[in-house]
Amino acid sequence: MEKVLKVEGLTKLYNNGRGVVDISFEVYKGDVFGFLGPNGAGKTTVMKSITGLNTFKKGRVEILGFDLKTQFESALGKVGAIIETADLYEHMSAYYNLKIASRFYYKNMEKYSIDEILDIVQLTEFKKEKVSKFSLGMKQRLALAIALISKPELVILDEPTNGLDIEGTIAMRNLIIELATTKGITFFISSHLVHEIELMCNKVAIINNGKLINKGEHIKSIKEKYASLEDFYMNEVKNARGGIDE
Amino acid sequence: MKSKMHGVELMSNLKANIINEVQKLFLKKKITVLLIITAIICFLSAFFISSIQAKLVFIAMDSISFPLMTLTIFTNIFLPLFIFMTVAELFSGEFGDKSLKLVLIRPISRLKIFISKNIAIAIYIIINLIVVFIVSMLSSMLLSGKASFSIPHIMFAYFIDLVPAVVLALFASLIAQFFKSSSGAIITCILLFIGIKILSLFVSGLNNIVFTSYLNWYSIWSVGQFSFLRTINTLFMILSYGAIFFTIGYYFFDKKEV
Repeated sequence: MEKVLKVEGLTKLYNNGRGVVDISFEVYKGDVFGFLGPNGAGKTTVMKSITGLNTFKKGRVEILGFDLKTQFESALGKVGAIIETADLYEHMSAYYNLKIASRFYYKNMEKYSIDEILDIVQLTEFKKEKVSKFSLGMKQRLALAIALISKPELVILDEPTNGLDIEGTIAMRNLIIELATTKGITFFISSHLVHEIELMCNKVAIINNGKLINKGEHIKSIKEKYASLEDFYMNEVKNARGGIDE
Repeated sequence: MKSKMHGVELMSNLKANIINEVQKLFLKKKITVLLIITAIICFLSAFFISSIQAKLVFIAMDSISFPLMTLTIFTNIFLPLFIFMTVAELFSGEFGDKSLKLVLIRPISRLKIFISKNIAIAIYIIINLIVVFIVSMLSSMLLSGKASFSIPHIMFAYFIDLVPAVVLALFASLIAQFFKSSSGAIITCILLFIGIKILSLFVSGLNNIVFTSYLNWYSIWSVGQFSFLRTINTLFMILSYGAIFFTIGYYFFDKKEV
């Protein structure tokens, strides 16, 4: 199977000594890969390093066969991402936010038209409205639209349902599942909620305390061995601590 | 082959981001308002000068070309201020609200982002100078009823004053790397600018070697005898300042973790 994302020995430490150490895993085409871990475990740090928002000295990241450090532009050519929060140009309309993102992808490159993508995230009627007036759920959907405008092969989402209400969470989750099944997009999604990962993903990797304690297993096979994903998670975390319960 | 194709296609992402940065600027009300203020200031100073001229006839105002006078006032006072505000908006403002991430995760290198932001600021400066040029020409014609100046000469003056303004913008973008709020960056730039100006009043010789002295470069050209060698010397000095500010600014921009 085609490797979409390969992370090898990634180590990123901040000045305060926190960070992630020796992270290695692989994401294959068609995966909806869950990245599970508690708050502060290092999920965002890994995602920032993969998308070039962070600089890291040790390790290697390869996206669609391109090395992130030496072939940055090619590596990110077919990637969409929302990292940490849905950052948007608040003083602009939804249309201009998308227009600005779409300029990086040219006429001869495959991409969605702005109307097409607004339709997918159900924001067509708010096309000309200023983003500062949007609800959090709408902002999150627009951010996803921006991430999708280039018809990416890999979409990286950092806690995509964070802060959303029940309806917003369901809408976002359904959208991700639909895009993965109908458009064949590979997703790499982080979350601190087991339930969330269980509903969206086919594989899961667990990160705790800056270290990867599971490199990615099929959720289906986990469920065959354990009563629930939650049990599996607790068991893995316990093993990582040397079998000691907290 | 795949990599080469990607490379060719992605070549024009620099152009894409220049358009983006300019669009981002002009969709901000603040920036458009500043342009309108520029036009109003120009017209008011023309009005002020012409009314003084009418009362104090003995002042030989005719000998001074009004568009060049406006250029002096504008490049020394208002333009630096507007440059600081624009630079702070495109750098510190975007670090602060984290919208810089939106560009950083696109297929464009940080060097190209840094270059395109600075080019967008240069475009903003050019537009400002064009507004000053047009308004000062029109208002002086309107108020004094005559145009006793040579247009190519004035255009040349405006053109060469662009160089030190761009260098000042590069200086500001270096300072802006250290701030996460645009107001902090603006205040620091203003204080540094005033500080350098005051220092060059007291330290002899500093005035000749500091880049802020050449903001109205043209007026220095026209005073005294024109020396080609001295002008080339100054040009290279200003450009060197620009290269240094650009390099240090980019160094910090490249290291930035958002």
